[in-house]
Amino acid sequence: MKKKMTTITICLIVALVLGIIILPFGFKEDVFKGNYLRSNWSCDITLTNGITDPGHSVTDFTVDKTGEYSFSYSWMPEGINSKNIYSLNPSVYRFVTTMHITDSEGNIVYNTCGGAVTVDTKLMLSAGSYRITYSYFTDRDAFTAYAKEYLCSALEAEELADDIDFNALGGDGSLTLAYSLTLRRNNDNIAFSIWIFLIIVLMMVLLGLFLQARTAKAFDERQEIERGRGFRIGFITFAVSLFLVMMIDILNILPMVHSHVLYTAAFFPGLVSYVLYCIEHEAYLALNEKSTGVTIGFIFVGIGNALAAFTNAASGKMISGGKLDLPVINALCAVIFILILPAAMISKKISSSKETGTDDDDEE
Amino acid sequence: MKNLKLKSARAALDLSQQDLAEKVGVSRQTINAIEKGDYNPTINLCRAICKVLGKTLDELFWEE
Repeated sequence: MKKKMTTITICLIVALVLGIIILPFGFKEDVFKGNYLRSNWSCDITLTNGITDPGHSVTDFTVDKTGEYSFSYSWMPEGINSKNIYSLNPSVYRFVTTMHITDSEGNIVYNTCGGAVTVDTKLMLSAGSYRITYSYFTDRDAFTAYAKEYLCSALEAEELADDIDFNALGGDGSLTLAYSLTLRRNNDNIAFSIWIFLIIVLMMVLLGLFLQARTAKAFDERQEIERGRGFRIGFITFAVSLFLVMMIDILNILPMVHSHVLYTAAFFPGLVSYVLYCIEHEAYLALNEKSTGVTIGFIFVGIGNALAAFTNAASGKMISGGKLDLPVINALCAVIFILILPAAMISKKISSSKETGTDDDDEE
Repeated sequence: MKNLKLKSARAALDLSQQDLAEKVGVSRQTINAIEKGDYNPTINLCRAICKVLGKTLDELFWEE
């Protein structure tokens, strides 16, 4: 009974950890087609005698499902990419971009008239087509004042003023505004995610009970002890490797690798040391009774990871932001499953064969 | 320290390590480890082995 409770507890913990890892993916709407829209574009504005041309510009989008949506929109002069600007309000200087959203029948769904550089809000949208219209209002010198006295002081970037030529709008001239729009459907998938989570928990518990019933007959006392030792060695190795990774991360010893890749890789020394210990000490029946099959299985898993690694490398996913990203873990797995584990299996098999040669009772 | 008494008792009954392992419900590697002296079995396993081989604990596992 105690053993069963322990198994269930371990399964629940594993399921919780998996759930914590998986659950956020349920919230990521962008994995569901039609729920996520991101658009970036720019608009050239010409100012002639205080009149902007165009006076407005439009962009369309379609919503597939009725529901609550998070709406984010920002604009700023092209060339500026700083979060400092988000808190600014150019309408103080009379240069205003307003935006309103209309549905397919022309009804206004949302309207901003404050001219904020960035807008974050929630909208209830029905399924259908929508149009966003941006209108520009300014007067002579307005943008120059905004740029020089307000924007640049915040950005501490007088050189930016030269690059972007804010002065152009002081009289007649042109300016490019860069827009960013994000529309994300909010979570009516929470229930779905919770159901998935509960199903995972249930499956883990059932799997645990099944394995417990199976392993109770499959493994003997020595193997259980060996596996316990293997767990201890694996855990200590993991703790040490995690500490080393923390040091590497803090001291920035491997700047070419993302931190999350390092922390993910920290699991592997522990896992590998556990598996190597189990192979060497024959802690699992299948590892030694069916060593050829297990070795082939390892190699197949390794080949799968190698293919994934090659695919990711070919598509440029291996590196992001100039650093190695998570797909490099596939390459690591490939090395482990193709080289290290099969080598350990073959080595163990050879040593067992030698023992058989010296002791005629050590049958294989 | 090798357990030659166990080994000879098993051989006397013409049992392989695998046969003995199956009869006592452990892996062949465990029987091998016991005979090689790499593993000290629990009293339950010792009793199971003794029953299969028709020997007493002293006869198989007592060091003289």
